Amino acid sequence: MSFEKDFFTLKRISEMLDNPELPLDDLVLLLREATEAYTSCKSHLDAAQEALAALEGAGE
Amino acid sequence: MEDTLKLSELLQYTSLMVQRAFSGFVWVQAEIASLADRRHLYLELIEMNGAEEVAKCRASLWARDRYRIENKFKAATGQNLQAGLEVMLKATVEFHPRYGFSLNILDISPAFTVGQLQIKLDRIREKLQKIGVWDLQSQLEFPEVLSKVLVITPEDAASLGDFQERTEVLSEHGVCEFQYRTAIFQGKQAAPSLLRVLIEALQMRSEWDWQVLVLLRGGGSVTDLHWLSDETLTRTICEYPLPVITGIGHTRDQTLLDEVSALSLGTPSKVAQWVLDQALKAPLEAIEHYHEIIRCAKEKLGQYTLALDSMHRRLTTEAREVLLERQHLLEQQMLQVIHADPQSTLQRGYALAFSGKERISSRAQALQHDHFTLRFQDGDLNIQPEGDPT
Repeated sequence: MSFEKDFFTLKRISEMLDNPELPLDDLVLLLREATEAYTSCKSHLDAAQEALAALEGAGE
Repeated sequence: MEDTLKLSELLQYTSLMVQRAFSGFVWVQAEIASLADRRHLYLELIEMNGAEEVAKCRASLWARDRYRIENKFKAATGQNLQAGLEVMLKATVEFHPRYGFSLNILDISPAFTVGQLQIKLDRIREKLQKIGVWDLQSQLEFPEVLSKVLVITPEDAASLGDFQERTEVLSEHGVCEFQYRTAIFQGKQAAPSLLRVLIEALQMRSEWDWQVLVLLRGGGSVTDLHWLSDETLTRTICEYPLPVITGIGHTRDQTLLDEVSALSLGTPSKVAQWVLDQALKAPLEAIEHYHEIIRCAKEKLGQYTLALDSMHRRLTTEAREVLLERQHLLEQQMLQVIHADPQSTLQRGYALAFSGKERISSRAQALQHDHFTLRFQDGDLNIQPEGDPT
């Protein structure tokens, strides 16, 4: 399940960035990984936002 | 042969005895085994002891009483008389030489049927709690990313239409997949049918790994729902390895399945709303995570830039200070060098001794020469040592 994997990657990185001692090299690696995960699940996220917009549109 | 009776005589005598023994009405508890509707309602009543049938007889509900009694039963329990129900009947007892033993139903006690259901539910609750499976579903966790839902509904259920109408936006956009299975939710076949589908549902996970199972059925009367309060079925749901969500009836008509499921939402539309919320939650959270990552990264890069700027400033300042210090030191040393120059020594009022170009730096050295030169700031002076007075 690709989106699930990407979701947990983004969640993990988001939590790791809370670490005030994070070295710059690690930050660069994490940013690279986050970008890959986001790019990978971008279409799913777009689809979810479209679905949400459709629901909100239907509710108006 | 005088004791011999004709069959009709024997049965008429039996009929007479029955009439005498049961001259008025009796209240009888029994289970309805079957019904035949031919203007009059013909019932077959049984008494079971576990799986064994221990008593059986016919009963008739005549048309003149039928509608009054049926309406009374339906008003209290929400449904018609049907096979499988425990009933308490007010009846006269009859034995007809030709048609045999039967009951003529005069009235019914709907409260008994509802009460019997309640007793049955309490017994199942108590048993499942005792063996420690009652709250197993409540310990299961729902998936953080909901993307595959298996739905079980009755065939041609209006509730399925409501559910699909609300959730189709998810499948259309590929956010969440649904698969549907049908089962019988009412009558004696309800429990076996649902059990079969529940087992098949687990087997199908090897091909399609659904995450939650939804049981949908749009409401119903108390007695309609009691078919779902079966012990084996309830226990199966208790021990089911994945979360079960029920949208079986209205909240006031809870079944045991509602009580033991991971989540009981009452109506199909509420289940649909829950699925919508859950399925959209993860993607929206992922977007938030990504934005949070960017914000944090910007903040951290800003902090790193500030730290680097600070280090640069400190480095520059410290380097400048070191250079100035070194420059000062050099100047000091230069001054010392200048002060150490012979010309500077002469200018400070001292004299230097020479012999030719040789520097004389001690008395003993001077005595070795018959003359030498003393150089002053303002000129040279020839000196002849007088020898060592010692």
